[in-house]
Formats: sequence, C-alpha cells, structure tokens
Amino acid sequence: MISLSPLLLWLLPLAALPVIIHLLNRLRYQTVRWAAMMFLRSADRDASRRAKIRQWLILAVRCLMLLFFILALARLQSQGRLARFFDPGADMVVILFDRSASMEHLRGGASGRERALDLLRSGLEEAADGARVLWVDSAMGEVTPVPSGMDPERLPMTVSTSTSADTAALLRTALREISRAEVARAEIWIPTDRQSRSWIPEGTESPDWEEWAGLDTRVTLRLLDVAGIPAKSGNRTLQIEGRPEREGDQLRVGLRMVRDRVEPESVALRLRSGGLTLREDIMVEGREFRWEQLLPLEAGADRVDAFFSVPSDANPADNEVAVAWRDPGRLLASLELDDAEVDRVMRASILPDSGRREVAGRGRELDRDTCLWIRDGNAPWTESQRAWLREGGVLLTLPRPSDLEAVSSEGGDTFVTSWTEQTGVLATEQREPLRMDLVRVRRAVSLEPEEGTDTLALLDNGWPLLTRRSEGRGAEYHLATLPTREASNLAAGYVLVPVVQRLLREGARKGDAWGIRTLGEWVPEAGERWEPLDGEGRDPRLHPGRYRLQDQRIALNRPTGEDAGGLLTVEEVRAWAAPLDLRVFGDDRIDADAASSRVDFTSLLALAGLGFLVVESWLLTRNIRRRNPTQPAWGSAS
Amino acid sequence: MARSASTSRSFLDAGVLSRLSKMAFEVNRPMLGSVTGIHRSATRGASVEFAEYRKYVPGDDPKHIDWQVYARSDRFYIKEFEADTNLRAYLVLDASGSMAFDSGRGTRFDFARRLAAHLAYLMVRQGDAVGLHCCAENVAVDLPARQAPSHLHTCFDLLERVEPKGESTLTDALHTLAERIQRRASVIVLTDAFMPAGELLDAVQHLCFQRHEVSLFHLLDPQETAFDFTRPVRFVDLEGGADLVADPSVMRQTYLDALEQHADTLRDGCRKFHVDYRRARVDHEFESALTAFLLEHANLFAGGGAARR
Repeated sequence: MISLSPLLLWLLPLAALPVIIHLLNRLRYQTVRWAAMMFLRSADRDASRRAKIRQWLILAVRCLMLLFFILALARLQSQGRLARFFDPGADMVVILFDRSASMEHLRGGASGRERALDLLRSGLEEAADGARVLWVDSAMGEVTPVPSGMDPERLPMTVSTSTSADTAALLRTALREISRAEVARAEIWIPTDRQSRSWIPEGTESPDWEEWAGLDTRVTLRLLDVAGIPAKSGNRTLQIEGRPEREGDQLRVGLRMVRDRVEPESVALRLRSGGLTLREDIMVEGREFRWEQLLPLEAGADRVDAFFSVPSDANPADNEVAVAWRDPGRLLASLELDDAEVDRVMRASILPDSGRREVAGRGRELDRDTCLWIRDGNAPWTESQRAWLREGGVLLTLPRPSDLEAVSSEGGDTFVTSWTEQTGVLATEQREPLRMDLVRVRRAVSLEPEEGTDTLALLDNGWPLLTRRSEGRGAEYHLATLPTREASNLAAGYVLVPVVQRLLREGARKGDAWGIRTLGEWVPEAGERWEPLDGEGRDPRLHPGRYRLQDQRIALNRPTGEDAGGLLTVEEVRAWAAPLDLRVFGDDRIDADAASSRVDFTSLLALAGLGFLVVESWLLTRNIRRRNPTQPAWGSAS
Repeated sequence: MARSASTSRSFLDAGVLSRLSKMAFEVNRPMLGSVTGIHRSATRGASVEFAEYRKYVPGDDPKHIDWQVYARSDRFYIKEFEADTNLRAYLVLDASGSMAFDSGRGTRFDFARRLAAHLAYLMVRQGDAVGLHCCAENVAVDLPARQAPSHLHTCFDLLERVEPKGESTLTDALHTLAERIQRRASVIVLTDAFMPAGELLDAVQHLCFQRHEVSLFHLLDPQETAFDFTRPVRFVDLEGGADLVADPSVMRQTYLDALEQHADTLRDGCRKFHVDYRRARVDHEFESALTAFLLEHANLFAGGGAARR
C-alpha cells in the first residue's frame, strides 16, 4: 500500500477523535437530582444492549468515516494481491520502449532508460502474469514477444542508442498488434522522459485516434514517467551548425555548443581525423556558443572526415558529432516542363551561372550525374526513372498550369500556416529561417498525399503546399503551386532558390554516402558492411559516428530533435492521448514499484467515507423518526 | 373566609379562588353525607326533586301518602323525593421525595399543594367535608374530613408544614384509607405515580370496591417527559436510592418508552375502574388543570346538585 501524499497520513490519529470526544463528554457529566429513577434503571438495563450497541456503532461509523476520508486524501494505492483482486490486469501488454538519445540523460544517478528498465522489471514480474507481452523498440521499430517475468535488461533491444523516437508511430504499431490480437483488455506501457519531440515530432501523423475509438479492446495507456529531477551538473550539447564549406585548403565546420549554464568555461574539444587525435581547449560563454573549426585539407584533396567530442557529462549521448565532407563537384538538374515561364524560373533557381550547376533539358536520360529531376504533371515513371529515384535521386513534381484552381473562393491569396522548420528542405539553417511566411499562393492544386507522405508545408485553406515521400534512398517532392505570377509569388526566389539548391544537394548524395546524415536516414542495405571508425561495436542503425563503406565515409549524427530540451507536462500528454485511459506512474520520483499493477483507492475510499456519512445520518435520524409519531401528549388529560 | 385564607397562605391565589367561586365540585355517585348538602344522597329525603312512588306499607308516615293518587286509584302510594347531602372528600398527597423534583419551574409538590388547597377551599365553601392525608416514609399527616371553616385553616397549616421526603407509601396509605373510611367518599389522589403501576392500581381498585369515587392526578415535570439531556449525567435518586451515571442519548428512547408505557397502563387501569385519571404537567398553570377538572366533573355528572342550583 502506497500513499501519494504520505504527509496526510499523519492525520490518521484524527480518526479517533469521535471516541476521544465521547470519552471526554462522559467524564464531564453533570449531576441531576432525579425523580423517575425507576424508569431510568430499567432503561439503563435495556439500553445496555441495543442502544449502547447503536451508540458505539455510530462512534465506529464516525471513526471509519474520518479514517476513510483521510486515506482518500492521502491518495492511497495498492499493488500485489489486493490490486489484482480489484484489477485483474490486461490480457496483453505492449511496451513501447523509447531508446532515443534523450533517454540517456542522467537524472539522479541513472539515465532515463535505466530507470525505465527498473520500472519495467517490477511491472513485468507482476502484471504480465498470463498476459501476452510485446516489446516495440523505438529505434528499430521491431515487435518482439517477450516471456512474462523476464528481466528486460537481458533483452538485446534495450541498449542505448542515439536515435529519435516517434511515439505516434509506435502507437500505430501498438494499435495494429492489439487489433490483430483481438483481446478484451490491453495495456500500453510507455516509459518516457516526456520529451516533446518524441511525443509530437514535426511532420508526423497522429496515432489514428479514430481507429483507437473503434477498437473492441479496452486499452489503458500506462505512462511510466522517468522524467525525474534534472541533474544539477551542467550539460553540454555539441552540434553541427550549417554545412561545412571549403575555404582554400581548409574546411570550415560550424559548431555549436548548448549548455545549461552561463558561466564561461574552458572545454576540451577532441578532434579525430585521418588517424590523428587533437585536443583544443575552447573557451565557451553563454548558453549557446558558436564557433568555426578549421580542418586542413591535403593538397588536391576533395574529401575529409572528422569526429568531434567534448568530455562526457549528464548526457553522454550528445557530446559528439561526426563530419564527412566531399566536394560535390558538378550538380546536374534535368527539367521536363511544358510551360515556358515555369521552365525559365526553375532554370534560374538552379543557378547555372555559378559554374557548379548545370541544367539539362527534356530528352536527356536520367543518369548517375543527374541530381534533381523537375517535371510537371503526374506521368507514370519508367523503370529506369524509378531505379534512378530509388538509388537516391530527387524528383520535384510541379502541377500543370491547367490543373491549378483558385485557393480561395474570393479569388484572393492564401499563405503558409505551418512548415517543418527543424529538418528537411524547409529547415532553418544557421539561425536563418526560410521566409515561408512571405509566400502567397493564389492558385494551386489540392495534393492528395499517399501513404508514407510527409507534409512539409501547409496552406491556410488546409491544402498541402509541399510534400515529400521517400522512394528507396531517393525522394519525391510535390509542389502544389507554380512559380508564375498568376499562381504564387514563389518566382521572387527567396524561398524557391534555397529549396531548389537544397534539393540539388540532397540529390547529389545519390549513390554516394559521403556527407553528414542523420541517424536513421541512411541505413545499410543488405550485403553492405559499414565499418565503424569511432569505436568498435557501433551500429550504424543505432549509434552516431563515422562509418566507412568501401572508399566512402558516412558521418551519422543524432537527430537534432533529440537535443531539444522541451518536455511535455503530464497534463499535456494526458490531453494529447485523451481518447485513451491514461494512468501515470512514477510522477516526480523514481520508484521501481511504480510500474507494477497498482490500483488507486482514492475514489473507493472517498465513496466509502460518504457511505459511512450516510449510515451515520441514518442511525441518528432513525431515532427521531421512531420517536415523533408516538410522542405522548403529556400535557393533555385523558 | 376566602379573604382571610388567601392572604395568609402562599399557595393560595385569591384571583383563582374568585374566578372559581361560582363553580362547584360534583361527584357521580350518590353520597352518604351527614348533613344536607348539594350532592345527591343515596337515601330518600325531603328535597323538591321527585324520586318515585312506592306502595304504602304499615309503618310509613301517613303524611307522605299522595292523596290525589288515592283519589284516582283508591290505593295508597307514598311519594318519595331525592335527598341532598354533603360529601366527604379526602385529598391524598404523595409526599415522597420524588415529589420534590424541580427542573426550574417549581416542585411537583408545590403544584400538588396548590391544587389540594384550592380544592379544599372550594369544597368547604360548598359545605362538603374535607380530609387531608399526606403520605410518605416518616410522614404522618392525617386529618379526618370536617366541614367547618376552621378545619380549613388546619388543613392549610398542615400543607404548609409538610416537606416531601423519603420513599413513597402511597399505595399503603390508599389501602388504609379504603379500609378506614366507612361511608362512601370522594378520594382525590395527587401523585407522580413513580411506583409500580400494578400496586397503585390495586390500591385504587380497593378504594373503588369500597364505593368511593376516585380521581387521580398524575403529575409530571416537562423535563421528565422530554429527557433532553445532551451530556452524560449523574442521576441522584430523590428518594434516597443509588446514583446512576448514564449517557442520556443512549437510554433516552428506552426511558421515554418505559415512562409512556407506565402512564398508559395507569390510564387504562383507571378507565377500567371508572377512575378519573388525568395527567398534568407542572409547568402548566394549575388553574387550568383545576378548572378543567371542575368543568368536566360538572358536565359529566350533570343532574347533580350543581345542575339543580
């Protein structure tokens, strides 16, 4: 039995108050000279049985009433046999295990992942008695049946990773498994540090609440809260800032350090590159500190890789970044556009005058040199085109002018209401956001995203402006409008040019692993062997660092969203998962018992207290009701 | 007489006496008085109220023969008339310790004393003989019935002196009285009746068996009928019994039930023996109790002396 407000348990002696008052009253008796003693004596004899029992019953009821109200205020909870008696438990338990980088943050001497494992261990021992347990791993997305009562630390899918977590996607997996199992009652356990990016990542879909509502299974969401108390020791987060740029025989790499303290300090930056390890002390100031690190390029070299790290702190997963750079050389874009104005604007956006960009017209076969393919309409792909796309090409599909329609019934402009600022082609780079707020659209097509399509920007009327769908290692983008005067102001260039340049760069990585990528974005394909350069045992699907694939270098860094410190409150999580019966365990303290099957007795105790109040009132008024009808008219003469 | 008596006694109220001066105390049964009075006698007499005709028998006074009937029927008939006589009334006061109970509205004995004094005054004033009997342990007050006004002073002196104390000997006193009073009389009992109902009813039955007319005033204090104590109380017996510490809230219901049952037993028993049983609360005006008593007797027994007057 556990109390969530244990201080209130000190009020328990108050439950004896009625008895104490009763005894004090008995001691403070008054003396009365009485005549009708013969009736008193007989009444005393009779009352010693029935009425005295009733009196003590009232006292007992009052004591119990106070006791139950105090226990209700103390928010009493129970586990073990008592809990199972009231709550037999679920037929199926789905554990959505968050192995994101933020879960490695040390709080109270243990990381969130370690605390989550502690919670799950006790929970599995008790709650999984006869229930089917499925383990859904956030890093790999795999669903694994787990024997009941097994120590979760023995599972291979519990080791730390630097991946991101998408709780909505995990919930969709859970929904699929629960629907398939067709059980009467299921529980979803989510050990979480409540990092907002894990719960509500940008550009992801909601967990299909309508489908949850249609389930025949009674689903309870059990939130195992491991947010804990933030460590007082300082935490440093090392990040890559912008894109590395060549400057003569050096590569300029922008770095950023985010700290939770403002005092200046000297931080030892370790750099590993080309078999050398260098150390440099950096004097950092303020919460965010930016600087540029220069990497020397050998004469005539067009590639370099490096690994930066700072001393480990409260979160060892965010103290390192990897860089791999290769001069992209010539970037070729292929245009197949019917409208002359659109063709002109798009050609200009590719910046062919820079000398490192080329534009090919219609009729040129898509080959290894082509980075970006821009076309209009939705003509079916040929096999070669599909193969090009799957190998890493980037396709931007524009609508035909004849397909455009007014976005507003009044014929006016509409604007962009939301877009993904953290990642992708619309991301803010070097603290300079794309001015999507200046985009005005008058005519567009209503895109109908297919499954697996992310909406990157949304218009005010609810239509997607830009969508992205992965195709193998490549990607297909759909723009809903055209850069023409009748359709939008994209031709002004402040959004279109950066976006096209980013698409070119994305396509330039086609078939070439060189570059800085986000963990999970680029994973080994069957037969590929990625050799870790920054420590044995690193898995390119789970761990950041530099990897060698034949003569290529891949720098994998943790998702930037994992460095965001924003936490959802329990109330926000409750609001987000409102369609589910959410129970929160752990609260603000680490308690290994919190994950076990615990029944909250607060309502039950309060109801019992009210019941005793009713019984007490009934016992008191029963005497009055009996007395009144037979009250003798003593004053009247017979 | 009223002025001199009322001015000298604290328990007499001249106003009440004045208001009740036109009323008379009536009885149901024919009385056997010693002198002429206002009550119907058990014997024939010389009043103006015709009673019956009966045949003349030798020995009858010829002056009572109705000659008009003889002229019509050629037979001798004696014409008889009702006789009016006075009554003997005995006022029996329970002077036990329980009569001294006082809840702040005056003792029960004071109430009984007032009633007895006013009744005695009214009866003597209408020519009846009044006796007084106060009974309790170690209390021996017994005045035979007299009709002289000077006897009234003796009664008042006695009432003034008597203090309620000790255990009740009412039932013994009533039995004694029933045996001792030779001629039929009216017996008015003023008591709290805190004794076994059966014993009291036996004594009352004894009186009725001796052809006495009995009235029983059951005097109760409002605190006894309400029993509205809220805290534990140590009850001290006014008649010298053991103390009792009790929680009134626990025993209230049982106590009230017992008291009510006791009073009901008394009422039913009295009704069975044609005894005038009346409950009176001592916090009420004694005048109203007295007036009700006199009025109801006058109405119930209309046809008696009062009606003729």
